[in-house]
Amino acid sequence: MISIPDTPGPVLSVHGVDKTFTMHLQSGQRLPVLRGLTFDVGRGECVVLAGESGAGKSSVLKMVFGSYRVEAGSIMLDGADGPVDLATASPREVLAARRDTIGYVSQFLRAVPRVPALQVVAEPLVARGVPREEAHERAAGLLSRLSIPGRLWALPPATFSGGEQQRVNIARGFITGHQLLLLDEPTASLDARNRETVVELIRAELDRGVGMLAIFHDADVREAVADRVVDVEAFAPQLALVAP
Amino acid sequence: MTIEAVQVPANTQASYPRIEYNEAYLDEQTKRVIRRALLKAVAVPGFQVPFASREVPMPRGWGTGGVQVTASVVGPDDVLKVIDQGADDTTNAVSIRQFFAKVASCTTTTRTDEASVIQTRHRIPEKPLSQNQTMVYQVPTPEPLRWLEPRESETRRLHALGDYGLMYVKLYEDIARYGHIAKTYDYPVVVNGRYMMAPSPIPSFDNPKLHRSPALHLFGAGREKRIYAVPPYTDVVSIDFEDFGFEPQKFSTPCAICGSVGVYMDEVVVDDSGRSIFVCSDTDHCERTAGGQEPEPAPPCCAVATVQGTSAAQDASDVGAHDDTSVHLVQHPARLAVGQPAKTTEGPLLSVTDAGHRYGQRFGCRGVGFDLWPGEVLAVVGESGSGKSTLLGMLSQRLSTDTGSVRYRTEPDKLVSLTDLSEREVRTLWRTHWGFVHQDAADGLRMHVSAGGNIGEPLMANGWRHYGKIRAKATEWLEKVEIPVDRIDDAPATFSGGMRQRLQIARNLVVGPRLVFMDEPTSGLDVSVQARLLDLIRSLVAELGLAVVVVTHDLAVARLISHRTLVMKDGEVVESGLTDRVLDDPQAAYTQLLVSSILQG
Repeated sequence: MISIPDTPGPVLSVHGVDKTFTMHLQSGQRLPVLRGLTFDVGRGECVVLAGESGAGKSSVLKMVFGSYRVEAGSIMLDGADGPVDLATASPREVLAARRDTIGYVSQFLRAVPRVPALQVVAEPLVARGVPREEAHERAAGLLSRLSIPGRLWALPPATFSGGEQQRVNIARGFITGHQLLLLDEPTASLDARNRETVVELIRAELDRGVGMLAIFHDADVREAVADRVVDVEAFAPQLALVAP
Repeated sequence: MTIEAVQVPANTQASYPRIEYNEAYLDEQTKRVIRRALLKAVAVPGFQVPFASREVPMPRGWGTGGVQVTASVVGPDDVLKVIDQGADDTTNAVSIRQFFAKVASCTTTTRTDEASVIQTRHRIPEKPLSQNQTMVYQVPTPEPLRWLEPRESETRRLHALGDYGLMYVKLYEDIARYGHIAKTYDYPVVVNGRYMMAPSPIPSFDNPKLHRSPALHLFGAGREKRIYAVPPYTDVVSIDFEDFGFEPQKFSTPCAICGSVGVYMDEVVVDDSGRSIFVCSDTDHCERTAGGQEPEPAPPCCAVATVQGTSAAQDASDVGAHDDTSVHLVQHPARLAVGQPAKTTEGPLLSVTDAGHRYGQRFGCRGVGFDLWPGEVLAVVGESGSGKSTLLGMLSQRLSTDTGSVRYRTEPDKLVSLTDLSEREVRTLWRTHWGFVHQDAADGLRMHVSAGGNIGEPLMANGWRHYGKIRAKATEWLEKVEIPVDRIDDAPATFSGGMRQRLQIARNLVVGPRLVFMDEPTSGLDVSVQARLLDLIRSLVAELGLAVVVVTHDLAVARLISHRTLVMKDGEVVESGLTDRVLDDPQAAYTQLLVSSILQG
């Protein structure tokens, strides 16, 4: 488990971030999504992004994770290797931040076909140099906790139901205990009991001092864990469409 | 026509014009040419010297090379003996002996001890040779690597670089198939610690006689136009493995005529029922022993020397000895701990700046720049014709770098421009630091060499000379790439496409390279096989800490195995960055087109 440094500042500080999509295939139409997005995520704090579908909540997570380009502004991460601006970081720095600082539970599990679930979950630990047996042990613990039966561990998650896939994805995101965790609707397709387990997991991580940036459509879960809500729509640009 | 024929006026009794030939048939100019080739051959033992092979009055393949060499060295004081597989009385031996008796002023003999020049086809006489004797061998195929490598240009390069791993593949295959080295004639030797040589097809029984022989040995291949030599007292070592040593043939029954033992035998069928006897192949020896004139002890077969690690050791010393400007490459850990991750270096392994390759006036690719670090996988994507393969060819030094630079880290603190390296150094890199996985496994494998031999070849090229260890390593790698171990002795020609590709990967990774190029490694395979292969590549890359450049037109492949992606169009990089960023948030119009047209669902 990664220890959380006892530094005062926020783990993530987003400041003045703009995002526009340019659709070259639609004759270069520009679709501005966010203007001047600014918020912090403190250690042990759970910040929930709110807004209508299409407001750009997932885009915010993806910019923080590095899968989306940031046009303007800064995304300062107080990472394991010191502060880094993810808006301008080189690919190597982003990869290092993902390995050492940021965990991500995406909306959909994307894994190499054929790789067993246990290995999928253990992989982020192995990438950090944890011995394979130990990583598998921890993965097994998490999967049991999320009530994935042991007989499924050796199967590739592609064959699982939606809910099972989502739980594998959650286990994969939580296993490393990274300082910052991005959650994109982790409980969307879970039943009440598993939702409860996830809430427990989230609470435990928050108590350890992990910062979280999350999207929850489920009001119960949101109320159970959110410390603060950031309304993404407040940062929507004035003009919906800008001519090229 | 090179014959200097002097037509004598028909004033004698014959009605035919009598032709008198120049001494020993060849004209003096031709003899000089051949003697020059011989001098060079003696100066560089075992090296095949090309020469202008002339017409002689017998067909190519009937000893024309030997005849030309004999004609150039034989003089009035010489005594010539000619043998054919040890015998003085076969057609070929008799006609060549009579030929020289007619056109040269030397005398002829059948006695080994009397002869000063012995022309031979495929044998060395039993009687030990002495200092003032010269052996002349008729050679059909002078190139020892010929049956393994068909291209003459390539075999010459292998000789020049002392790159003889291939030769050991042949021995490996023998042991894998028969349990011992089955080659019994034309057994390859290393001469003077440098050149691999085919000792003409003499039986391996005769090989030890060449080692430090007091006689001069000259080899002439008339059809192939090559001359080579072993000077007196030169080391001639039959190649072998540490655990499977060279063993010359042995014969248990004594000669049926003279009773000799420890000599080379011919089997002679004596009646219609197929009964056979064994007799001495050396007729002179047999006659003299049977006549009681010379009760000979068995000739010494003790000088069996073996060679290990010749090519690699020679290689290293050659770089230092002949190439002052050479870059001394890192002694790769391959030989000590093959398969271990290469030591990670500080800084990028490959650094490309504004590099381009031109086909005539057109650029195949240009303005390419990136750094590749150990453990990183870089995907190059784009449609066909976008310059992906040109880029790969340029990076791997198959195509020239016409603009910009491609630099590689040969040592922890040394980035070397690849264009500054000599061919030898680039080949050393290929042997130890780099791998290349071809789209078509047939381009990257020897299709008719066993799976074990295919994986073993890079090891043997790096100086591995222990059959058991090579085989153990090959087994280990077959398991790693999930090929059933019981297929180790099957040729990849019998493998499925997916298995071939996995075998190719094993062959490339077995020496623990640091940088691997892959050209569409999964296209041409069906989807289920693709997924397995991608998973394999991914786990091996992570496990071994490899840097990989993978060219693919399949964005799904790029997403699954690469960290970063370059998108190419019309020879230029239109977008680059983290793979998921390039694919999830493409900026360039072309990338958006690619992503939207391929990644549906």
